[in-house]
Amino acid sequence: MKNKKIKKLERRIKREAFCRSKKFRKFVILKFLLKALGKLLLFAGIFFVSTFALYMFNGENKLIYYVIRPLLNKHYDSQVRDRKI
Amino acid sequence: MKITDKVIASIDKKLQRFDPLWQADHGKGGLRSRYYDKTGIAKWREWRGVKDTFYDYTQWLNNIVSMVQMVASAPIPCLKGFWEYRWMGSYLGTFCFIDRLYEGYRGYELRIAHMNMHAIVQSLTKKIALVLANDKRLGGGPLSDRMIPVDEVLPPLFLKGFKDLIPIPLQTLPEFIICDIDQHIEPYYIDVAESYGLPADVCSRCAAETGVAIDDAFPIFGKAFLTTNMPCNASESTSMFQRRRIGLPDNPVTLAMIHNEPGAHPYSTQELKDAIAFIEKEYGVKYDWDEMFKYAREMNEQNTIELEKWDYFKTPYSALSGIAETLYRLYSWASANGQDPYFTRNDQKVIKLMRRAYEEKYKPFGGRTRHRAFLWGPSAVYYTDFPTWTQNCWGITIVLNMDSTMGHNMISTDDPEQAIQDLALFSEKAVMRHHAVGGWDNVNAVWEWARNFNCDMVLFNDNVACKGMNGVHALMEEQARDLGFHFVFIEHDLEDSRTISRQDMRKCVNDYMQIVLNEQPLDATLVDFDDSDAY
Amino acid sequence: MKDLKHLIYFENLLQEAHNELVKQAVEEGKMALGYNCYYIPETLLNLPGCFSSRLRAPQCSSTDVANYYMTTRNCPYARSILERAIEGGYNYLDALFGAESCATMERAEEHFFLLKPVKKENFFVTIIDPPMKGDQTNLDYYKAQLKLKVVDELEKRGVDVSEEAMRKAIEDHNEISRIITEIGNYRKLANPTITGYEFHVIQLVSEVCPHYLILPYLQETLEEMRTREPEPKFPFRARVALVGSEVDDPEFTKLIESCGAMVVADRYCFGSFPSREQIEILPGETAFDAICRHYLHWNQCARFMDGMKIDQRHNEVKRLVDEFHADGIIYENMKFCEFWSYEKVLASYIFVNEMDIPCCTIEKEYALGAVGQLRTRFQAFIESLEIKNIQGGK
Repeated sequence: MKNKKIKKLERRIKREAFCRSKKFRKFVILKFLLKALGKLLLFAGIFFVSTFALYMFNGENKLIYYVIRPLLNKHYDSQVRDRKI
Repeated sequence: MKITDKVIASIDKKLQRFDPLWQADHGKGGLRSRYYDKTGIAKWREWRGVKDTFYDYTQWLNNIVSMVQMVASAPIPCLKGFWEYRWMGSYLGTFCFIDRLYEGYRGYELRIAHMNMHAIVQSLTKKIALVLANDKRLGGGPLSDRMIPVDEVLPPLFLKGFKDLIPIPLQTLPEFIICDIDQHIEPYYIDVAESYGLPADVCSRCAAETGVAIDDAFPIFGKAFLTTNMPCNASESTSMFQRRRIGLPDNPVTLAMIHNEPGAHPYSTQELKDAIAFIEKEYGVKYDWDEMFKYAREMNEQNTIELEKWDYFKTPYSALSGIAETLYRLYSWASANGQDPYFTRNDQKVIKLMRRAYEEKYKPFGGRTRHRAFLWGPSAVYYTDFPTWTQNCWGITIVLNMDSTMGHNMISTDDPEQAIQDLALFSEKAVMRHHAVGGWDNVNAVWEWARNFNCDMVLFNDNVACKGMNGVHALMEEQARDLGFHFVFIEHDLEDSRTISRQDMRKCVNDYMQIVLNEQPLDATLVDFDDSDAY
Repeated sequence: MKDLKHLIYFENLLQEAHNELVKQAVEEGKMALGYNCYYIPETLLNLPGCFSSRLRAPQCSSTDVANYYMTTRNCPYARSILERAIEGGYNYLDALFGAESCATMERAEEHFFLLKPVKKENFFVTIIDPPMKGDQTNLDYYKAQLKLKVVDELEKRGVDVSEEAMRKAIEDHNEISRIITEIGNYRKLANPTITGYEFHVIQLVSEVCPHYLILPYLQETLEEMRTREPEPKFPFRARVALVGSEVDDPEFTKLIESCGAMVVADRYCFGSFPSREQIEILPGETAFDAICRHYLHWNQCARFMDGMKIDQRHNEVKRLVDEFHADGIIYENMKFCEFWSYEKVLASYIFVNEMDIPCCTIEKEYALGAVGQLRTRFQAFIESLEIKNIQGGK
């Protein structure tokens, strides 16, 4: 029993020493960075896929040509300009 | 071969059936297959292979970033500008415009084209934001009275000696560059001018400027206005309307028309001096030659690189040709004109690529060039991508165009008196002017240029309203016959796409290539199509 | 009114450029110096041993060959001049002193040295780069251009270009101008003793014939004018000033007058405003300087683009309208003329809206055509002038 307790204590001390060690700190930072990188990659992937899809399917030009410009033209045609020489 | 290259090659092989150039070569379609009829809107963008498509995509993003920066730097003025000015709405067609300019481009020519285009986009977006943020009509800004509205054909470099002032070409935004993007915008302003009695046979560019003035669509800034007689008669005349509408004290900078003669330069030099004195008086500032020399060095560097580019243009290994060359030179010379160091840096990068392409004996456009052409005369502004079409459809590479030969003399960077004389010579050889006006020898110089650049063909931009060029019609045709050049008149009406449509312009080339030369097109889908409703 | 004694003779002289008096002068060994435009001072072309010949192409209705060279989309005056040259109508000329007054004019003049249509030996062409503003810089440039391309060229060919010779030329110019101006002033009368058509003919012969040969006829005509009785009643319904670009066909003036409006003032190229003002040599000025200054100041070409000259164009017309008691203005421009097309739009707006002068704008070909349409326009305009007069000028 006593040996078990001592062994448990020794393991705890080792664990705590390890947690305080540089190696562990590096591991934690690396884990954080990998998580962040993963998120970034995910975001970049979504960004790339969505923008590339928009680019490849010419989405912005279709939107502009078929929707935005007709609306703007309506507005321009209804403007009263100060026309004079 | 690296693993990535192997993978890319494998993907390219699998997807090559989507490449319009491959389709054209194999009779399964072509560059025009992916368009909705008449609209000029593509169902999908051009597949150019993995590397080139990815590159094109990154450049698309790059240009979007510039536009976002433009709006972010002046959000309210930009929105107000879109709401107020019809011509601002047309700038939304920019991406369509870039796509059509570089159809069929691959490899080095694609990279150089995008580098050049981004230089224009970053400059133009900054200019739009600057102008709108300081437009008195939209509320004005801190720089409103420090900007000098200048006629767009007057090279603004000589004004850079005013350290705190910003010369802005007035007509570029509402009339010139926007017509490149949207063929339907200027007919509106032309109609305005004609509704007030202006005949339809005058030059449409100047009719459009007059229409913008009458329609009160110029942005308002500055304390005094510099007009000019350049390039020609109609430009002088439209100034009468603009000066009236803009209502600022004005000084016409009237450089010599017959500008090749020795007697012309002292006069032009004095005109620049008078303009400087005028700005000093109206803005209450003093001219600083040291400041001017800074920008003269930039322009000299750009012109030095330009002259090196010309050496590459003479060979079959030039990765820069067609509209990528023309539009960039036009904008960098006429609008930027040494004021923006970005263009110098861009030129340095581009010339490196051109040198590499030459060393590799790289043949652009897949080596499909059949004819080397010199494009002479003022080009149709509403059909900027005409050189791209001639390349893709008939294998006609536009090696150089007339306006690219603009002022390329060096400007002194330490002697004010020499510098002003150099600036006068530089400014005289401006847009649509160097070879279009000033005497027969100027126009007739095309043959020497074509020969020096190893061209077998001259495409002559035949602006039906250009009295000066109309006046030498038969003489040019006779010269071509005598000298053995293939010669095609490309009729157009400069900024009015209704008189002669893009389709009509293509027909001029088609007829010559099919009937006279009996050639088959590289891409059958490009021979005849309707893009009347396109931007 | 009794017909003017020499009117028919003058009309005959206008039938071709190489008329009887021109032939006589050439046979007498005088140099025939052609020009198109007011930018070339007439005075400099009338130095000893020379005479000026302002180029017209009478009855030139077809310009097929010129159309081939210059297309149909260009000024018909310039094309007609080229056509007439190719036909051989100017083979009497020793020189053409051209001006880059407009792109079309320059191209037409260039064809003279490229195609060599004038067959006379030693025929030469020069083209000046005319000024575009009325300031000192442009005056200096104008002088330099005229010195280089007119005076020096004449001197090379043995013409006396000395100060005395130029002063004599100025005197001759002033004499002709005095006579023409005095004849023209009869148009100011409430019931003029000369018609616009008659004056147009007289003014034209003074430009196309050698001065020393036409002068006696003009002097006689002036004497006649002093005693000429007018019509019992003013025979026209309105008085108009004819303003604009190139008009060298008196039939055009006749057409306007046949519609009921007398042309009381002629402010167009080939007209007397400008061209018949007195040249004054200021103290300390050379004759050459005086000529250059005079022509630059009085030039009304729409090519001038500085504010001062733009305003001068409109004010000059207003002055003529007031002095000659015109009821309105007929503003014409030659088809395909860019300068005057723009100027017409601006000027007519200013006359109507700012100066309250009725204005009728028309476009014309070089050869008188579409007479029916022009007649309708003129008649409608004249009617509107009559109505305005009846309503007390409102």
